[in-house]
Amino acid sequence: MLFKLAFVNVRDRWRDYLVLFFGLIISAAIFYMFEAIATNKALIQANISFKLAVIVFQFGSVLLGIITLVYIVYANSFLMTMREHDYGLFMMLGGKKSRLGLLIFTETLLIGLVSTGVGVLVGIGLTQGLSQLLMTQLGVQITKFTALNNTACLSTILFFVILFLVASIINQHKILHRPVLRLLKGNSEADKPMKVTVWRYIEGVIGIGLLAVGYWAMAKIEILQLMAIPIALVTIVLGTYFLFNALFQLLIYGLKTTNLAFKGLNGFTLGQLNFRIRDYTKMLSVVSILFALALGAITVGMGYHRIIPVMAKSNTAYDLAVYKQTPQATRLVHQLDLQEKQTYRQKIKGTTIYFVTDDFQKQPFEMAKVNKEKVSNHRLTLNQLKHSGRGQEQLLSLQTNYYELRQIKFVSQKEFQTIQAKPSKLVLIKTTGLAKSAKILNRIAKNQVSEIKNPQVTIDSLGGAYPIYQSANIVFGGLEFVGFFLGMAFLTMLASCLMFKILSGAQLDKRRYQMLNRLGTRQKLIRKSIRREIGVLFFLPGVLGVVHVLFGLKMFVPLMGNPYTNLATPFTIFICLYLIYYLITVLIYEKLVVPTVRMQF
Amino acid sequence: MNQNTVIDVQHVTKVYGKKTEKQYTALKDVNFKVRQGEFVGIMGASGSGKTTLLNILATMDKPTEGRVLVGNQDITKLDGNQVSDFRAKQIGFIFQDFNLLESLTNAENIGLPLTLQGAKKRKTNELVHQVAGQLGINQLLDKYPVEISGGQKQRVAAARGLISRPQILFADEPTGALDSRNARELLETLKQVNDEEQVSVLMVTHDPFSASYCERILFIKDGKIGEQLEAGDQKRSEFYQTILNKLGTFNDQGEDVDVI
Ligand SMILES: Nc1ncnc2c1ncn2[C@@H]1O[C@H](COP(=O)(O)OP(=O)(O)OP(=O)(O)O)[C@@H](O)[C@H]1O
Ligand SMILES: [Mg+2]
Repeated sequence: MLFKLAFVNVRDRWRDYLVLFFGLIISAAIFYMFEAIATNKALIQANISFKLAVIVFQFGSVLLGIITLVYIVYANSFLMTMREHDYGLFMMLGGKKSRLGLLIFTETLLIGLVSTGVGVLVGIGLTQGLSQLLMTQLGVQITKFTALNNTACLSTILFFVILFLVASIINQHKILHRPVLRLLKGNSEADKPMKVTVWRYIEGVIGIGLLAVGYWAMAKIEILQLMAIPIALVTIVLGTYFLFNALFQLLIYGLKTTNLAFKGLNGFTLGQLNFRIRDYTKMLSVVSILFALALGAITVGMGYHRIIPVMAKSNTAYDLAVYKQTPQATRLVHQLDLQEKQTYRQKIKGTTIYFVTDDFQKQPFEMAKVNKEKVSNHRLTLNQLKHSGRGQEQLLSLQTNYYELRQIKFVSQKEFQTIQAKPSKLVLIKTTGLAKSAKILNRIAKNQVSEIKNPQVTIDSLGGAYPIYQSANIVFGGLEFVGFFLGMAFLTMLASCLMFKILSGAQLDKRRYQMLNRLGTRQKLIRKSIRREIGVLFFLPGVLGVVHVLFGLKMFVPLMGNPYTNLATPFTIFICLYLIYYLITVLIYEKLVVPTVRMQF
Repeated sequence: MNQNTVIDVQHVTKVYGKKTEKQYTALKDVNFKVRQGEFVGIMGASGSGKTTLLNILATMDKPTEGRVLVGNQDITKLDGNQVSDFRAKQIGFIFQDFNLLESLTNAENIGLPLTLQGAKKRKTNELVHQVAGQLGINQLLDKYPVEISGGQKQRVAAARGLISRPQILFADEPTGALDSRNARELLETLKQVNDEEQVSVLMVTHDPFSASYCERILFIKDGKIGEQLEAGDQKRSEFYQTILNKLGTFNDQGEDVDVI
């Protein structure tokens, strides 16, 4: 019967829980996907570089796990406020604390199991659907990739069950230590309108100060090392809270005294916001932090992907060196969209490599140069090449046995013929784009490795940008993938926090809007007021979140050079999604509170 | 202590607010006794401390000073499971706003105190039907609270309060949300149970009509018990008139007793 009580509670409130469930399900699904990819045997065996990507995916899981814990604790405190009254009643009717504890425990765990179960199912679908995309992204081909993965299922369920156990202990503690009367009457204090005092201004200053410290810590990550992250985390979270507490109230207070407040329903809207301020500031802080994490993850993920070609091409102008001119290799090279193709004769004797001067006069060697994150290629005349250490280094590094070689000598054709060594041809190719030629380049590289017949030589030891591109792609492609989905998970969580908070107040607001309606307010005006009120609640944390991201990107300067280029794409994607959540919230809210639109729920 | 006394309130004082904050004394040295099977009303102006008193008697709140004896036990000193057992077995409570769970059927709502105590399902069902029969709400058992009227809800709540056959039933303005017909029906029921079961009823009310069902009325003023009225041999209608007259004298003295 006790179990039935718990079950009935969850069943009956599923509409309330749905928004929160959604956040949990998405989180569990993405967690599963990361785990399924990270522990996939076929993938790990297919590619050595993938070992590095595994770390990326595991790291993504951990980050997601931490944020999910915060989300679960937060979501649970919502659920508990809805249940407070019932629990108070149970206590009043003589329910023992141990029994009540068990009830809270069962309920929390039930929510956890249901959402994790659904999450894993969604996760399997997601993994199945996206695996092809991921394979392309990582540039690996696998035929027997399976989305259903026992290890991943187990670790996801285990992890989430533990999270919910923690949450249920916190819930128990919270409820059982509160007096019955407080539970029965609810926390009506939170709904008192706030007064503006000097303390508000002080709070605002403290908030900005803390944020400044946090931003500074992120910018100085090279000096502070790992310490920068905890410092930034604490100061930014607190700073955000203080700032919202102060700013929000001062803003409303300020607006209330202007003429604007007397136009239309503005006064009412401001009153609404003022009334729920204290309730909202905590949530807005959480939302803006999540917003920053989500946008940050997407931006950084995309940023890493952007630097792959730069990284790959910073040490050589060529995409691949071809050593064995087999018919197959020649045919494949033919299929490429070539920008440059140079053929040099060479002989290796001891630690010296000999080239023919003629070849370099007719086909000048190209050297790569990096300047402010821009890669440029320069044709070198023979004379320039002879005097450029960097150029010679790049020429040398195109050899598979690069580390055994010491020097380059340019000799005339006659001299070349007298050198006692086996002649070979070095064909250097440069395509119009690494990404689009990647498939054919991969086949050429494989062909070369098999032709060279040296167990020490793998694709990674071939000359040119492609081998670097390939392994970087797996790691950074993984990063982009992880970043994107972390961002998505954070976004759903923050949106469900916001939506839930707003929608859970809808029942109370309903009466106010009905009253407005009776007073003869036009529906159009009511809708406008709603859109504004919710708009403010979405807008403020969004703005602060963007600011956090802009400062937070400083952390990635040592890793990425300039993380600020090409912000437009991730920001646009993200803001569009955020807007969609806003519109959905407005839509649901209007259905719930706008009178005369009859909705049976 | 007298054999017949169920509640003995001794020097109960309640001060709201922490020492550092502004304090408010809601009850000042309150003393009274309730006999077994007695139907006692508590009347007083808004803010005079009626709810505070009832909450203390029902172990929902603790007094700042004084003690409350039920049986031979000081209920203000109970802890943990003792409080739960006391609430579950010795007292019942009816709220002004019913406090039924929307997600449970009326039968489940009535049986909730037993369920929370871990009683067997069959036993609970049996007792639910028994008390429902007594209150004449058998036909409501399978419905949900949203499907019945306010008066019916309050009867269901009363059944819940009575299911564990308590010694004392507390009611804080039980008729406050009911119209006069429903109020009358509920009061008749309470009176009947009071007579049949010898359960003591302690009812807070604003309404002289509701009060006229009581045997004795305590008037509370500024946190102190002022006067008392005994019904004695009066008929209910006569007692009603007596109460009205009493409230009238309060009003003449410029007292602020809100009569509905
Ligand atoms: N939690 C509290 N904190 C501080 N003061 C309180 C609290 N609860 C009640 N009071 C004060 O104690 C006094 C008595 O309150 P109580 O609720 O007992 O009055 P009441 O007689 O039940 O009034 P009503 O007829 O309006 O229900 C009131 O002045 C009230 O303001
Ligand atoms: Mg009261």
